[in-house]
Amino acid sequence: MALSQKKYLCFTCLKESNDPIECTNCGAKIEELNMDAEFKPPVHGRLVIIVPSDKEAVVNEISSVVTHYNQKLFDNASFSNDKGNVVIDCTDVASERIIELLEEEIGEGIKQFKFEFQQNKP
Amino acid sequence: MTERLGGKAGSFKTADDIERIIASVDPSRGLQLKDAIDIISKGAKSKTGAIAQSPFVKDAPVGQYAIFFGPSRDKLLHVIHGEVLPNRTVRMFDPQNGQAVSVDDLLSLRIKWGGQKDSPIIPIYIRGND
Repeated sequence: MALSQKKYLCFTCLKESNDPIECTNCGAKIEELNMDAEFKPPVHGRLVIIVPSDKEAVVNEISSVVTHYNQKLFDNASFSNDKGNVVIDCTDVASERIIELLEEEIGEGIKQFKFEFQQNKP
Repeated sequence: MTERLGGKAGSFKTADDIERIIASVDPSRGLQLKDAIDIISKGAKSKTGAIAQSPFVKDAPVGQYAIFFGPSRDKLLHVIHGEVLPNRTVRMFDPQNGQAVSVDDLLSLRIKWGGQKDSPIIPIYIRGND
C-alpha cells in the first residue's frame, strides 16, 4: 500500500524533506515558519569613530577591517578618514558587524575609541 | 513602476514603490514577517493567502514569491522577489537595488544578510500569474 507523504520545507536547502525533524536532502534541522519573526530591513547611515591623535596608527587597522568585512560578507561599506575622524558609510547591520570585527582584531584597546552610528535622514 | 512579462505577471513594484504606495517598512515600525507578507501581498494584489513554498522544487506553483534572508528564521533583514515561470524556470530580482539575482547569488546573499553560508532563506508564495 502506498503511503501518502507530507513534505516539510527545509529553509537551508530549500528542498522538501520527507522527515519532519531532519532534512532528508541536506541534514539540516527542519523548522517551522515563524510568522512572528522580526522583519527589520537595515537603515543606511555612517559609523563614526573618533580616534585620538596619538592613536592614529589604528586608523590603518580599521581600514583593513572594513576591507576584510567587505570581502567576507559581500558588502560595500566604504571607509574614509579625516584627521582621525574615521567615517564608514554602511548600514546599521554592517555597523554592528564591523564593531564586532574591530573588537576581534584590535582587542580591548578598541574600547578607548568613541563609536557612533548616525542614520541618514530620510 | 516596473512592468514585468508585459504586464501578464501583474505590475511588479520596486522597494521604493512599496514604501510610497503601500506602507513604510521602516525598522521603527517593528514589523513582523506576517506584516511584511501582508504589505507585499497588497503590492502584488494577491487574492489568495501566502504560504511557505520553495520556488526551487519541481512542482512549485507558477507565480510570484517573496524570498526573505536573515541570520535566523526569527530575525529577517532582507527580501527579494522571485518568480516561477510557466516553463518552471525561476527568476529573481532584488527590488532594493534593481539587480537580477541568480541561484549562485543566493550564497552571497545568505552570507551578507545572515552572516553564515547556511543561514536560512524563507520563501513565501504570494500569488499566481493570473
